[in-house]
Amino acid sequence: MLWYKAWRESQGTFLLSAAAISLLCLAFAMLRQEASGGISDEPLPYAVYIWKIVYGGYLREVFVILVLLLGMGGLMRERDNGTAGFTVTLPVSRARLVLVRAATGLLEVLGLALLPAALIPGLSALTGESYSYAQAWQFALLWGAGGTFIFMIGFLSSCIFAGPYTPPVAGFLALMVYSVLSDLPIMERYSLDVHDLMSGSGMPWLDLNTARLIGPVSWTPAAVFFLIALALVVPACSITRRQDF
Amino acid sequence: MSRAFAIETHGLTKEFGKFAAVQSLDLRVAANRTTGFLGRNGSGKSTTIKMLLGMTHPTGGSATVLGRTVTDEQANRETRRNIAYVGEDKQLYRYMTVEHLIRFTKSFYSDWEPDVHERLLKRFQLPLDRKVKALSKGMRTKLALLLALSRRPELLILDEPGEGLDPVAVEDLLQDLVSAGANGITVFFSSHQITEVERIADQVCILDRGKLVADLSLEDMRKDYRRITLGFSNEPQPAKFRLPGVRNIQTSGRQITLIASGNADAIVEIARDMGPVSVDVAPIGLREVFLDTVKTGVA
Amino acid sequence: MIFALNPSSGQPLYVQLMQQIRHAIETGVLQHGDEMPGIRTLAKDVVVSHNTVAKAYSELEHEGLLELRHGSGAFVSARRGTRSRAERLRLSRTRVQKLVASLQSEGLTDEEIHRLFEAELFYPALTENNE
Repeated sequence: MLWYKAWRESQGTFLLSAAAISLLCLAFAMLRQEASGGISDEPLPYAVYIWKIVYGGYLREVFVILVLLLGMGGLMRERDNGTAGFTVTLPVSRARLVLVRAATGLLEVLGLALLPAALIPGLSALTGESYSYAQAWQFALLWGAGGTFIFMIGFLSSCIFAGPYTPPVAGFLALMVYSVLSDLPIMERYSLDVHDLMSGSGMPWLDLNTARLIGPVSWTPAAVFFLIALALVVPACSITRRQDF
Repeated sequence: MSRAFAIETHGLTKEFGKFAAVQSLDLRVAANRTTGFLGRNGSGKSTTIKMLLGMTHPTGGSATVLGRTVTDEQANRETRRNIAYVGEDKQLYRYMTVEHLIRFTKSFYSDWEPDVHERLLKRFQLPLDRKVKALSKGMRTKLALLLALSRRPELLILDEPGEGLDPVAVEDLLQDLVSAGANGITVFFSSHQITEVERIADQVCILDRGKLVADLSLEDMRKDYRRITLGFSNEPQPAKFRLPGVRNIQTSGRQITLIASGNADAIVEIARDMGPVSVDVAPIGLREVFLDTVKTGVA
Repeated sequence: MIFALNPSSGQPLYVQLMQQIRHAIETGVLQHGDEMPGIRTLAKDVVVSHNTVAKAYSELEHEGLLELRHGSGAFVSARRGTRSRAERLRLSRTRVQKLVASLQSEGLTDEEIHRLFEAELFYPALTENNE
């Protein structure tokens, strides 16, 4: 019943995040006039508006924050609130405890990544606009890959640090440092910026005029980020294995 | 299992930086007996227990529980299948209801006893649908005890199980521990309630400042330990009482008090040769032995 | 049967239990054929380690006072002559009462009398030497 426990412990954050993302999607779709005034003076095509506010902009930032916070919890938090003794003395390996929590979180991240794709096209139709599902699902995949990477940064931070504030702060700092480093001119050619991954910016397959993903999309960068995310479970396990409770 | 010892440690050490919480501990807990584990706060009892359960990694020495070494993660995990543990933190998952927590715990062990669990639920009056966060500390302790006592493990390890319980509940707990012992379960529990330990334990281990300072059978203690009080009308000579069996010599004015762990008869004989005006021999309870042991730190 | 054991009286608990069971048999409170509670039950009732009860029963079986029938429990096996023991105890009580009364009339306090008896019981050889 470790999956049940992992779900219950992340349930609050996940549901709040899902609600927040859903509400924002609703707002952005419904309040298009008000919102686009804030982005640019000229009227924007709908797809570009959606890209600027969702996939490449505001909602993406919210998604990054939420996904990082979703990584919080785990045995260090249990140590702070006194239940670590109960959990660690269960006849299960520490690796399994880490794996189940990570897997649950990764599934939740993928769920959150799919939300805009599920909602935006439908909501857009309500206001008379149209947004293609095909485009939405592709962005969802990019968000899934980037999201799981960012989630694991938060997850790893929560395995290392204790207390209610240190893990998320450390996670954010790590992400910021990573973003700065990946944006340095020397690193540019490796396209390591995860934010760009999620928005598709700088990629040859993003048509900036129409903000659509066209041409052959290379899924390699996305796959690499996802695999790195999975690989980060290994240091998380070995750190947890060494800890004293 | 025909093993002699359920728990054995050899030079077990845990250092936190320069502070040694547990120092070169050689502990042996006999199987099929009830052993009490006494020590002041900070003496290293909880740290020792945590090392036995694989929660904390020793910095030196070794230990085996139920025949398997504690430092091998997989072996220790197998051992934990046969151990029921109630920790000093009586915290449980706050978001789960009593019923869910029981189902959760039950799913990890194959030695669950449904009738015991029903009986304890009724006795403790734990409402199944109440979340743990809405339980008082006493009820949480009872729930933690229920989760451990509803099983039939080989070894029961309890860290301060009576903490936060009212006297009636403590009495019930002692009966449960006696029952567990009668079922062949080795019981190893630490407690500050010396009176309770004295009633039901077969053996007592005393830890002080990370070291084992006493390991005694309570029946032997009752039979052999004596407090001998000698009154003199002239200057007493405490040095003359450094005899085999004398653990502690205290002088107060013209009175010498000896605590003997054996040979009380012989000691009294020798004492009488020095012409005391009064000789009093009395038995000692566990509380006195404990206080005497941790004050002087003598094994 | 209710047994009261004192963990701090200086006597091993199993010895105390044995004495109390023996006393009950000698005075007729427990009679030949009576069934004693099982080890586990008695241990729980008295709240004492089952090893204590087990040892007491085992020793009493050696003395011939209990019969442990495998699977059916423990039964009192009192020989004849226990009644005379009860009477002996009654007579001894009277003697003790007289002795205590006479010591008290000599001015000894209860404490002193108690200590004299205890010293005698614990170390009879030494007390002899001293006089």
